[in-house]
Amino acid sequence: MVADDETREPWSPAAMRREIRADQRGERRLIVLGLLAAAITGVALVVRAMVA
Amino acid sequence: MTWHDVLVVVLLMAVAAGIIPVIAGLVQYLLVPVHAVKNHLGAAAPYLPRVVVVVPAWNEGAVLGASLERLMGLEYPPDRLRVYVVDDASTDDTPDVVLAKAAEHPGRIVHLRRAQGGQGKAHTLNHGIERALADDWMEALLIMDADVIYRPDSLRKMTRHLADPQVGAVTAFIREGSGKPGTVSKFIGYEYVTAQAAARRAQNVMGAMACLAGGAQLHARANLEAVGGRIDTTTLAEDTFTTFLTQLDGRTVVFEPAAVVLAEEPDSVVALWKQRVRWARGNVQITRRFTKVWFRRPFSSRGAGHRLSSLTFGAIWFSIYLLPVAMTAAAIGLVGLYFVDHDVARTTFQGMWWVAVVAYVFITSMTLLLDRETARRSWVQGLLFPGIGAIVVMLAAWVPGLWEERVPDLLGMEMSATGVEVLTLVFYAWTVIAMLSAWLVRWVEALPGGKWPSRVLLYVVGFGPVLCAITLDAYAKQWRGASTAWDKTEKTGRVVG
Repeated sequence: MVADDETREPWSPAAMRREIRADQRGERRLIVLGLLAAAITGVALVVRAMVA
Repeated sequence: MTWHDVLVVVLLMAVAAGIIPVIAGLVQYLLVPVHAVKNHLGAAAPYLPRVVVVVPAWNEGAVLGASLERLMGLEYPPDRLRVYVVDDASTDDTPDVVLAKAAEHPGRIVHLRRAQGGQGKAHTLNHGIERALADDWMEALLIMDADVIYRPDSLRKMTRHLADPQVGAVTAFIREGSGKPGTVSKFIGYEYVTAQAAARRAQNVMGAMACLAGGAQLHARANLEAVGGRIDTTTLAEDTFTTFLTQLDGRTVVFEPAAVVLAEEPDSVVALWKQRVRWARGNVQITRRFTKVWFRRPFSSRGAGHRLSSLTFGAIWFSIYLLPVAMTAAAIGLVGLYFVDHDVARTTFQGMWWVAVVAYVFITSMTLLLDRETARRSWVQGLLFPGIGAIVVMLAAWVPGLWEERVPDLLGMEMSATGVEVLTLVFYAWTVIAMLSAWLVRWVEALPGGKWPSRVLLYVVGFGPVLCAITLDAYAKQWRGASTAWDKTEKTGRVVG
């Protein structure tokens, strides 16, 4: 069920491990997105305070 | 304490009930960034089981060819992938399409025809599952819809999680994939990011998954056998039923956001209503069937092998399930307070909608940042998801006197006392007004020439309130014991991907 390590197919174990690591790195950007969304919300609160 | 005080407290509690779903939604979104460090990728590994794909098909000739071709083009070992198309007594060219593809890919595409169809998706799936379980070849089973287009890497990004024997099933991210989406499809595209890319990441963090996506769910053979070797046919929410059984049996269900598949979704309110009433009725059935699960065990349920009983998961489930009740309670609370105590009513109104505004800004920002592709197509629908009416109400809460004094001043006008009262009551009751107006949106669309007026109404009323109204309709149908005959959503082959 595990392809030959030496193939260059995208489903080779080495390629899939690289893919897992890349997707893991991709998920880490969620922290930045969360902070950005919080910042945008903060800006909205500040604008509201200024308008009121 | 006087009766007046008691009444005020009761009405305040009614308003508080309306805030709970908003807070639950916010909590769910606050869990999304946690997925950066709490996900299943650490336990994933290169794993390529022999997969049987079961595709239920009734009159899917317009869409099936493209879907099958995409499956054959998956970046997955060809000798480890077979497709069983279960033709549910189709009357169009579905059999011809499948047989042509089977001839192009001998041994990899199999046409299974049911002579007698019309019993629903679950029955059709079971026909294919039974065939797949008949021998030892299949190690994992992928259930998909006929119109779903898989990206080349989708399947192996799902199978990698089955390397962990604790995982029973994996679900992909279904993105709305119409080539030229209309307004309703764009709303759905945005909603799918909130309900899948965000909410299911949060459920990964919680360790409790509400539902495997019907068009993209992968089961380990052991899991399929453990849940009885078949899909439940007694509810309208067979996907949710299977998801719950898997977790109650001690296995994990994982959402893989990087496994993206594209699907065609309804582009009319009438078609959306038909689809979502079925889903919502299914959820009513599920909520009742699993009564013993909700909040019954210790909240820290690790020893129980599942986390469906956790406080957070239960709060999120019931926030959606009881949303029409919550919205109605909030409106009754605010309108009641208006007649009992103006000052308390005003403060409560502002407090409630302040929470809503903060949640709206955070959730909308996060959603648009989470999926750039959908954001490019659906940013207008994202911003107007709660409706123009709700945004007017939010501004009324955020900037007191805006609509009663400031705007009339700018226009050189003055609002009468009666006008102020009426406007205030409309604001206080908006959650119910919007929900009831959703029926008007559906009714107008069905009239000759009604499409464009209904779209304008949809933007005013909001897509969120339409979904709320659909849930209410589902309650009513379940209460009445309406027919549960399968009412299929028609697909036309608009997916481009």
